[in-house]
Amino acid sequence: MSRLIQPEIDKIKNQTGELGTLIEENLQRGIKALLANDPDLAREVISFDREEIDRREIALEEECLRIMALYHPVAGDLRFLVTVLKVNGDLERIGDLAAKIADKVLLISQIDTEVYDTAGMMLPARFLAMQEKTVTMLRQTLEAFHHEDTDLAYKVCLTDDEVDRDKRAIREELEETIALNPAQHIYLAKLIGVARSLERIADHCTNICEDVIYMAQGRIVRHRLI
Amino acid sequence: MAYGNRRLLWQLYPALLLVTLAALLAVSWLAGTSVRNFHIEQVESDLAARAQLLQGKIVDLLAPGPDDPAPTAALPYSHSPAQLAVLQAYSRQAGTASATRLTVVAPDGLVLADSEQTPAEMENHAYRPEIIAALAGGTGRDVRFSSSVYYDTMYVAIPLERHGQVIGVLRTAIPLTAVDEALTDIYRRIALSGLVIALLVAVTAWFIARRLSRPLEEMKAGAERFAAGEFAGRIAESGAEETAALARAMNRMASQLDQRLRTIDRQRNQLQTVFCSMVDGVITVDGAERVVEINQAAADLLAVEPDRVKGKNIRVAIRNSALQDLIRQVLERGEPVEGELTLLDGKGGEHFCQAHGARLAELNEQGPGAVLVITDVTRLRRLENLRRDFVANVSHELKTPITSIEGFAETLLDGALDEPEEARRFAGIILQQSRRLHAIVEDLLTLSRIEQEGRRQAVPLQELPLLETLQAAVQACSRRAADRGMSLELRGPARLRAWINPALLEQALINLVDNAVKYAPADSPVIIEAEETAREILVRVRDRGPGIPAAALPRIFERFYRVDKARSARLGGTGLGLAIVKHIVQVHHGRVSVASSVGQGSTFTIHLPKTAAGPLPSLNQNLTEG
Repeated sequence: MSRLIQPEIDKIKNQTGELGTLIEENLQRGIKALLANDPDLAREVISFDREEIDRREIALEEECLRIMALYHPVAGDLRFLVTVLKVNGDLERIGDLAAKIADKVLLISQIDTEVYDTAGMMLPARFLAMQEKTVTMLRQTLEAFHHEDTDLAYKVCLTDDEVDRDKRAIREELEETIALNPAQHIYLAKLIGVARSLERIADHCTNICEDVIYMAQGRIVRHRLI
Repeated sequence: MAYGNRRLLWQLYPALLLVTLAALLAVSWLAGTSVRNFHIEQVESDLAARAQLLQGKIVDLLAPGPDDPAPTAALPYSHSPAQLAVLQAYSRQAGTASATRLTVVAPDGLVLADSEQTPAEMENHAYRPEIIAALAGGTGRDVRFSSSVYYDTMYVAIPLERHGQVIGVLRTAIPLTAVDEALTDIYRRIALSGLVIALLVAVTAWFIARRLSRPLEEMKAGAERFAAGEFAGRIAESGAEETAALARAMNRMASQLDQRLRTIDRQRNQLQTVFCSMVDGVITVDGAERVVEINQAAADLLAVEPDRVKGKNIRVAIRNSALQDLIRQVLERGEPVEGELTLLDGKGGEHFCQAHGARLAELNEQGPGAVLVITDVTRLRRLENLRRDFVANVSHELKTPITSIEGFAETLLDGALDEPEEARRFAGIILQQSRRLHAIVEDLLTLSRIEQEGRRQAVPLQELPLLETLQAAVQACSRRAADRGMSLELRGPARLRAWINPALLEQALINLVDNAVKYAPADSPVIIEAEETAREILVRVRDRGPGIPAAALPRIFERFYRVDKARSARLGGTGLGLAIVKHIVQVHHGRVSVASSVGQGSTFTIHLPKTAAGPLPSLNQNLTEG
């Protein structure tokens, strides 16, 4: 049985890898759209998420269920498939959040620049750092998943706190700016939304990493201090 | 080892044993037969001799007495019962004495006397072969199974003659038990010695097997060494001619293998070195889309660790969908593909890459694979953009004043000439724009001159006191500074000397100070400092101007780059000042850097090398880079 299930497991691995790649790229495109204020790219990101990523998520889930029904996997294989099912959900959420960021880009681009001073619409420097951290986290998460690297997974879990701190700092900074310059609140509120999306992406990364640890060690580390 | 040895022994032993036993059997059969024949002959002559000895007496006993009728043709002799009784008694006695059976037979076959049986009970012996032979006059002999003693018995019969007439036959007989016993004894011994021989054969076979297998074992050990890749040791070419020849052949094979492997190794190392040191990224994948090789350049471009992704599926290992698609295309179509990739390095940076993929025939058991060469064209792309921007900028910068001049000249011609007031103002504008045009062309010429001289290394550098040149520059700018109420402060040790071209360096400093004077708020100081560090001589120009945004910093030395387009033009800049500074400093083998924070001011620093002969930085990209 295990001789027959292995190719299926490999296929799932590849499929998950592909899905992860597409989501990572979509997130990066979304961030690029935000940085370059490019509504066309943002639209592309949203439609890609809706058409391609959601479709693949469903296909992956169905494939996992099919293998479970056909092969009755045990031990490592079962843990792997269960992990893939969970990771799949988290990845899909990350994809949605990337689309949400792109959505914000669209909203920002629709703001009337005549009313609001464009020169003031600069992204806070901390924003760049947070984006960078989140994207790195996602990359490392996918890497930890593909290589079953628990050390890296633990590291990613720790980075999550940094991202949370960044998000809080950005939020406070932006709220302060809003208080000083209420005219910009529409724009800045969108940015807070982006920061929240990034923070939640980081949370999903943490979830995935916890699942990776479970997959590798068979130990559930969720809801525990590590 | 013991196992192999035993096998050879078991191969040798039965054959050797068979041959030996066959020989033994043949010899014993031959010996047995000859012994038996010899013995039978012996017994025969013995029996004949005994018969001869007894012959006379028997003949006497058979001789007819005086009362007996003369023998007739029909009944030659007749014997009286008394005579027969005597004969019988004698034959018994003689038979016992000589351990021989004696039988006297009348010519008609009637048994007259027998040493062991009663003659009357015996059948007629006329047709026994030995009797027939004896009656014919010779010595008859026969060996046959005796029904009376139940054993093979030898019979020898001789005729009994009296006066030339056969009067009877004397037969002596002895059972051949003695012979057979002797032969059995011999056979037993032969069997015993056969056992000993089998043992001997076993020992011999063991020795032979060992002798044969020892060089074979050595060769096996040698072959195993060769198989393990150790070609240093050689197999001893000793022993029998065959094994020595085999050893020689194996040694030759080993050295050939060694040489070939070395060649392969060397070539592989060469290729590996080429592969690793390539600037272009190279990835090879097998038919199952697994990464076989990835060089450092590719790993850097894709931000992966080479050791980690080897053997992994490309979709898991390298997370770039465009690249995955390219590889899939190569594997599916089998023809070379070409594509462009945008690799994001996770830090917002983008690498524009060109990828060429081709099929790799029969990489491993997974069938044909694919090789992908990735070239980073980000720099080229940027240079292309710069060149394009430059041409566009030059045209734009030249066109603006020309349009202005053209417009005002037309206005003048259209009638404004008649209004002296207007005409004067327009002429003033035309003059101003012409000067601006002139300044731009002048700056462009300066740039190209510096660039060309720099390339030819034709700029003479002298070791001169630095402060003098700085002084000259400050003086040149002092009037404009004074106009804006700004003070120029020059600081630095007077003894400082540097390898400079005074005219060019002065020009560079004038540009920097002029910028500071133009952009910094009125009444603020501009500080020009010279300083010597361990390796370089630094010249700083510090102002308290508006500063330069971080995003613009890398680009301000580009030609026609302006942080604030409107203001720069208003202040009469050509957009080439900093580009000229950069080129002048490069001619001095130095570099120029800038540190600035918005609202705080900017500091431009010229770094000059302390020694004259620094390597000239490559200038071939100057046209496009700034």
